Amino acid sequence: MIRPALFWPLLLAAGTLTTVIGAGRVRSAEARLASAVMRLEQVAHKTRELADLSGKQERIGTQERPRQDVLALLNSVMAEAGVPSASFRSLDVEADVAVRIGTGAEAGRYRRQSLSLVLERLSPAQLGAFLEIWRARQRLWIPTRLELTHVRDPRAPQNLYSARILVTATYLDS
Amino acid sequence: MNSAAQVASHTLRWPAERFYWGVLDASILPSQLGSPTEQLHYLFEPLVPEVLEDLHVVFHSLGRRRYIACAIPRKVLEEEVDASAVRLIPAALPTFVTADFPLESLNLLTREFTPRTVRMARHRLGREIAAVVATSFLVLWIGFSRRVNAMDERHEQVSQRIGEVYEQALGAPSVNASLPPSLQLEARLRSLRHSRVIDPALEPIADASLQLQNLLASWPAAVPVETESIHISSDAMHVVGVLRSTSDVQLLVNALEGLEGWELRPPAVRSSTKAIRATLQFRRREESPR
Repeated sequence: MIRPALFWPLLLAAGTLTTVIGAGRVRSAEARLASAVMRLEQVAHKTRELADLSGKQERIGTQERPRQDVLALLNSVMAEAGVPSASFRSLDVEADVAVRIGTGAEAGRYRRQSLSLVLERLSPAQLGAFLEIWRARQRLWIPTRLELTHVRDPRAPQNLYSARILVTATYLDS
Repeated sequence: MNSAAQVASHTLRWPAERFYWGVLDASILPSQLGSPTEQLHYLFEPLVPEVLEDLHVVFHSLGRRRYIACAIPRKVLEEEVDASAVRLIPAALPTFVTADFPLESLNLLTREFTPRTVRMARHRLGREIAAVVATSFLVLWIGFSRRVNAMDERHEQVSQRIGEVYEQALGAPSVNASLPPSLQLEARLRSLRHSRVIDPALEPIADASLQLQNLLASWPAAVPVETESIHISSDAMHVVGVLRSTSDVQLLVNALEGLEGWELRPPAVRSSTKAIRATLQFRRREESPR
């Protein structure tokens, strides 16, 4: 049995304690919820950015691309542009150099690799289609030098050209 | 009968002569009284003919540290007060007291002489107030708990939604995934930011196929040219062609010299018996974007 003199202080103390603990739990739950909502917003923002970036074409490689990578692309573009496979002459590594874009940590962050591609006996229409499809298909390998030379062939029904195309890709120097 | 009337019917009013009276000047006491009643007892004791322990005394402040004391022998209270009485008050003040105040404040049925009915009523009121206070705290606690539960439930929904968003972006979680989804997403984003967005500090690469496209767009269709070669690099273009006459060369030069971003150098022309071989050289203007 609680003594009457202690009853009210105990009741008020218990009530105050209850209120303080309850308010603390509410504050804590509010903070947890606010943090979760903020995290959801951040994640949603990042996934939107991810979807947006995924929809864009690759402009910078994350690593050096093997020659086979370009060969596969070349075959695919030639087929779509109606360029016969017999037109393909060679694909050679031309250069792989560091790109200096400043000083300190930024310097040497990127490299550029170039491959030289030779196609022979292309009609102007085939060449145009090839370049257009090449550009539409990807934005990583960019033709940076074009050398078109007229092929003298009296038997050919139209002008034919041999093309040496230097394609260059930028990638992150890991 | 209302409660005021009930109290009035159970109030005893005895004549002033049945009480001991005293007007006390408490100004001689310390201003901070430890226990005022005890101190006043000392002042009142010399004024009564009985031992103070045998009396039941009540005090009432008259202001300016003056008090009126009213006492009655305990024995009288024990023997003469009816059990149903709730108050005992003097019917009037003695003649030597001129103060004006309600006599109800001199109720003698206090402390150990508080009637049982009053004591029970007070206990009942105390229990009811305690119940109300306890219920209020309980309701407050339930309110807090409901709010916490609702927020926890919402937190659970938000966490679940975060998981769904990750799954939509990254695919179904793999058992072997070594990184948590947040880091997987961050890594994928970082990779995409590097590969999809050109660093502004990076010198852009000129697309030679676009330069060729621009060149051919300006090419005069009416001028017959047998093009021997076209060389295009980021800073220069070389065109070698065979034409029929110098006027055709001039027409070609006129058509191409306005090529945006490029400066056409004076053409090199070599004449033979059958045709004219012209070499056109273009240099990229310095201010021109690649």
